Formats: sequence, C-alpha cells, structure tokens
Amino acid sequence: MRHVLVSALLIAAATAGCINEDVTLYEVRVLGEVAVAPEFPSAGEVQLGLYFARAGEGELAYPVDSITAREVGPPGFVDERFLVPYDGREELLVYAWLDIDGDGVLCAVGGAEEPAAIVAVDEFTDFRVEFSLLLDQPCAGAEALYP
Amino acid sequence: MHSSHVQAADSPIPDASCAHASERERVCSSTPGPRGWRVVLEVAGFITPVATVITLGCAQPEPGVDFRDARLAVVDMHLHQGEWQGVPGSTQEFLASRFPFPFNLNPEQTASGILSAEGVVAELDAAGISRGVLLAVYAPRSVGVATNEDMVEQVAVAPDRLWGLASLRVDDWSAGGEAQLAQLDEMVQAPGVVGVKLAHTHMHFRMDDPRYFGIYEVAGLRQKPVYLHTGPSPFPGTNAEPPYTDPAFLEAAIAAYPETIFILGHVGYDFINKQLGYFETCVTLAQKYPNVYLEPSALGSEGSDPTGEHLPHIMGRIREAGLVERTIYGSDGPQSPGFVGDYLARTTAAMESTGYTVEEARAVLSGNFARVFQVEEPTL
Repeated sequence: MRHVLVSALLIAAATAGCINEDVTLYEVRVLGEVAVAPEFPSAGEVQLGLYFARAGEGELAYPVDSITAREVGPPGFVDERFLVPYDGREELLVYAWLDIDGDGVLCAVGGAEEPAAIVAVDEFTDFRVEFSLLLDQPCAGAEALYP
Repeated sequence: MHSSHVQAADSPIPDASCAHASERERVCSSTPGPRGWRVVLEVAGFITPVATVITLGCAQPEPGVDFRDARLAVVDMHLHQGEWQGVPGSTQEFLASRFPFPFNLNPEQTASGILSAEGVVAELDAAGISRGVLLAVYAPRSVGVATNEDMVEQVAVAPDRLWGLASLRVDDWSAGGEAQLAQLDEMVQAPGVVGVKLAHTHMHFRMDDPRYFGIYEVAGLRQKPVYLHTGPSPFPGTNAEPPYTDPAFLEAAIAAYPETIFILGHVGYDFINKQLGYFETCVTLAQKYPNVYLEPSALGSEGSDPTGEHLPHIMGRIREAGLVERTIYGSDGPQSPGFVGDYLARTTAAMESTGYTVEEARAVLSGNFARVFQVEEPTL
C-alpha cells in the first residue's frame, strides 16, 4: 500500500478569506488502455480526468465531482500518477477525451468532433486504479456520461 | 443615490417597506422589514448611530431613478433568494469574504436578512426600484440550491413587487431529465413565474449539448424567456471551460428555437480575470438573432470592474451596435446590503456617460423587460 505522500494545510492566501482545512492527498497510480472508436481519427492527445462518483449531501448532493485532469499523450497505454484527496469516498471515475485538433477544448465551435468516454472504478485498492476506455461518445463531457 | 440621516441608537431601524405608497402596504403588513441588518449590527456590537448610518440610513427614496431630466421606473431582473444552508461551504466562504465590514462578521445573519423576500424588497425600496425578479437555482457543485418552491413562496410574499424565474436540476439527466422537464413546465405556469434561469458553468452542462434542448422547447412553448449565465464565473465549483461559458456554444440552440428568448446574462463577462470575456460574442449573437437579448449585471460592480471602465464600455458598445432595445437591466443582487442601489447608480451613470437618451434608458431599465416577459411596465 502506498503511503500518504502529502498532508497539506491549504491556506488559500490568494482568496480574501482563509481556509484552514487539512486535506490529505494520496498518490494514486492510474493504469489502463485508451482506445478510439474507428469512426474517429485516432491521432491526438488524450485528456484524462479523475472524478469522484458522488459528492455532497442532501439537496447539495451531485454526481461527477472533478478531482484533477491533464494531458497524458496519444491513445494507448496510460501509466500516470494523480494526487487524490482522501475523505472516505472510494468510487472513482476515469474520464478521457481525445483532443484531435489540439485546441484543448472538447468539440470547440468549428473544431473537430472529438470522442470521449467514462468508466467507474469501484475502489482503488492499494492506491492503484486499472481501467479500460473506448472513446466513442462525441462531444460528451464527463457529466453527460455518468450516471 | 439616496440620502441618509442619523437614526437614534435605541429606536428601531425603520421598515423601509412601510414608508411609502399603498402598493407597498401589502408587504409591510405581512413582514417586519429588514430586521436582519439590525440583528447583524447587534451581533457585531455596533448599535450606535454611526452603525445605523452604515446600514443604509433611514431615508427611503421615492420610487424611480433620475436620468437626465426624467425620473424612470426600474425593474431589476436578476435577484437571488434562498437560504445560507443551501450554499456549499466553499461558496459560503467566498461570499463571506465579499461582504463588507461589519456584515462579514456574521455572514449567515447577513445572508438571511437580504436573501428573503422581505430583505430583497427592502433593497428594492432603498434603491427606488419598482419590481424585481427572484431566481431559483439548482447548482449544488457551485453556488448551491434555491428551489423553485422557495422562489414561488418568496414571490408570493410580495406579488406586486416580485416575479420569479424557475430552474431545474440537470445533474442526473439520463435518469431524471424527463421528470425535470415536466416539473419545469409546471413551475413556469405558477403565479408570478415569468421565465427560466440557467447557468451552464454553475450547473455543469454544455451549452451545445442537444440532450438539454428540451428546456428551450418548454420555455418557447410557454413563452417564458430563458436567462442564461454566460462567461467565466468567480465561484468555487464552476466549470470554466468554453463549452460551459462561451455563448458561441449556445448558437445551435438559439438557431434551433427561434420562438424562445435567450437572455445572455452578464454579457459573457469574465469574472475571473475581470475582463470583457465573451462580450463581443454576445453582441454578434444579438445582432444575428432576434431572439437574443443582453443583460449586463454584476460586471460593473466595484469588485468585478475595479477600474470602472468596463460597464461604460459595454453600455456604449451596446448602443453603438443598435442593441438598446435588446438589453434588460439586472444587478445580480442583493449580494450585500446596498449593492442593488449601488449597481443601479453605476448603470445609469454608464448610460449617461455614453449618450443614452431618456427613452433608451427607459427601455433598458423597464420597457424591454415588460415587452419581453409580457408583463405590465411599472409606472411611477
């Protein structure tokens, strides 16, 4: 099991208020395969994001809570490490889309039609996530694909 | 701007909603007035004449706002209601950081005072504004939830002063979208509800996602204009990516639903970088499509426009672009005590400095709203 790498006191000095809240971050290794459906071009950079499946309580509950995202290279095998806050939630979502036209925007106006997909990972044992994604949904943000 | 005078320390803060014309007596008879401010001051330990002056003074202006040689009625189409508990913790902290002293000492009390119908009406009274529009909000990731039911209830407190915009949840659309649309259809027919409120950046759905176009269909069928937040938002938990903020992504919906009125809230202003953002895109869309309207709220506030240059630029550009008849006034209040009146003063100053005629100002401040929302234009 990986140990806690970061236990940070986040002081939001950039904001007018101060947030004195301990946030424990774990490093999670994300391993998997990103493939592209044949109807889309396969050249481009994969944008990979991690999400918690659920957040909030009561009327403030909602699905698909963004944690982090970044570019991870062309389609194919992915082996990346992400920092994930630990607060008891274990169901992660792995979301990816292919930036075909290199503009950093999923399906920008006048840009390429770009594919996306999402998969739920029930738990991240030993802080390791394994996944497989076939990018086949055009122009879909993470919130459009889950639940 | 209203005048102030010193109120005796031990006398009650006057109920501004009681001080004037008969149309306000209904509010007065059922509500005690802006007690929230007194509570805030008590909590803060500022029961002094000085503190009373800080809270708005006591004199209530006559309804209307001076513009050149005329006095004009005003409708503020963008006002928030709800409860502090309906706001996520991170956004509560953000909001509290923006309350001026001493209101920041107990932000929950401050919010409770000004987010109620009574608080909003008191703000309208203090600003001389005839009517306001309360928004329902369903954005649990960012700014929180203020339900349709609460909005309707608040509007009913002062039906001669308040209208409402309904909204809906979009965060479980695959399973609940149909039910949400049915509920929206019902809510927009409730008494006092005149339109629909959406904020893609707060609610996390793409502006061009056709799965949600049923919202525009319902609005069009019921002839209820849709108000949409455009541009990057300063709140925690928003999605600032272009498909959620750039009104260019709305064009497909605007073109597909010509019978639906789209009001581009904040005219695409970038509240994160305090820049014009997507304003010119809004202008282009309004020039291209007759069902597009503009609403320049919040962007000209002291915090969002520190140099004071952007609101005059925007109002001037709107006039230059021939879009005065497509522009509707809103403040995005109440935010903090006094904000509603301050924003009206800033907007009228911006219009004066950029050459608006009295008739043009009247259109922006009330006439366009009445025409678009098919309600009676308030008179003074």
